[in-house]
Amino acid sequence: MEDRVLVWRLNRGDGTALARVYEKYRDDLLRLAASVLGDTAAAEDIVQDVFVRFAAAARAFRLTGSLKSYLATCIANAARNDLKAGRRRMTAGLDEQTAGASDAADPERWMTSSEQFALVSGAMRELPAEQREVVTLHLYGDMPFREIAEWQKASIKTIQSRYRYGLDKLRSLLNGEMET
Amino acid sequence: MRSPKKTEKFIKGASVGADEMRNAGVLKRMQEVYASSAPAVPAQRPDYWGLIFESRLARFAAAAVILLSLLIIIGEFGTLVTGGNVAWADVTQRFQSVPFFYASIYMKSDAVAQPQHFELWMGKSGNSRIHVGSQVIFSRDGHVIRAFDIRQRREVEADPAAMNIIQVLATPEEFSLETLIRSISAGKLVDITPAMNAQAAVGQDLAVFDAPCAVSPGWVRIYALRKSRLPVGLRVWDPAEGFVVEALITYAREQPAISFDPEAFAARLHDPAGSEAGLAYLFLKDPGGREISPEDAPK
Repeated sequence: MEDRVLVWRLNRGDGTALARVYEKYRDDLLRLAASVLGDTAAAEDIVQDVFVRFAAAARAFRLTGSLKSYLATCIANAARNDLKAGRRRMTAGLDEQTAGASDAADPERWMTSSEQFALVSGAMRELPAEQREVVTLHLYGDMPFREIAEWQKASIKTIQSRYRYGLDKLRSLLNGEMET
Repeated sequence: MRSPKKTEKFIKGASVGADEMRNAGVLKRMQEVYASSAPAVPAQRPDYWGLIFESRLARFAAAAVILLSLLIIIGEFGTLVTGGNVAWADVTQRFQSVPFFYASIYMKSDAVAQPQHFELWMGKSGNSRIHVGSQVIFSRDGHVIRAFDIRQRREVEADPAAMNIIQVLATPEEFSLETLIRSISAGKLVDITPAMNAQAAVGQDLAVFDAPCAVSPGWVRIYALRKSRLPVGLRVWDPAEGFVVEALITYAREQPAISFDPEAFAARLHDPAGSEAGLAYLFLKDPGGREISPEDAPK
């Protein structure tokens, strides 16, 4: 409901609504991007880019579902393109591309991770890309399996299986950490 | 920690933060591109009718828009019904003379959904009071002052749907039927001015007006009294989903100031003698002279 009103305000020229959209979804989108990419710098670039593109299109934006799902899909698309283009590496610390990016010039990171997120993110890297997408889109993007199925062009059963396998693997990887 | 639920909880509980300086930078950049996307020509007025029909989720906020529309139509119907015999100044004066209205609004998001009921008391002074579910919400000029849960007998966060209605009611720009027509004429509505629907009016004392929507099969129907030209009912109907909003509007003398006073309400919240029904309608008076709070009713 709130998102509808926010989009409505943006459609009619009320730019102050951007701050609320940003504040509301920033952290989840950063978590989503960082988990899918396994690279904080790349995640920051993508999230910033998605927010800026959203702001540019906000006056004519038409919301047909959940705003969070929409933004999460944008992040996932951008992350997938990024990975496909080979511009990012899943191995942390090997990102050469960020050297030329505007954010890289700033020594301070935008995103700060908790110890728990570092553990989760590390475990996520062990998952196949499709499972990682399903788990992160569902848990951080709040996307229902039906929407993820449409996005991955797979059946809902396949998506549910990917989620279950992904979660099982994460559970075994994180088991010791979760016990503490 | 074996269950999937616990794994999900652990993953979802893994938090991240964001540097404040960088946040400000990103937000600034967003504001800049948003500002630069402004059209060269003056922006169109908001498309309230589009909002009404655009989405199921938007419709709760749209209820407030409907009420705003009604307020305008109070003034405009004179012209529409009599074909221009009523001067605009008279219409404006008449509209301004309505000191208070009460609206009972039922909204149903689809054919099988349970309806949600809102009661809205709105005064000329900008004070309003909403009763929805177990909440009583006080607001002024579009801002929630205090909200109370009369079942839990404590102050709470206002119901989000009610809060959005209050926010939309506070839309600062001038709202008129002309604005509405300009907005609608962007192509959303087939027929801009609500047209008299003689078939729908059973009695001669009732005028019925329809405004169809081009983007969905829905329409708005307004029931008005011919003689007084006051709209008394409104129905928004989208047969595609069975979405419906029905509003019954009554006009009366303004309620006593204390009925809009959240402090006075809060002082009575913990009164053990007060019932839930008593709190829901505390300090309100029925314009017909009957007591509507059980505590005030004759024993």
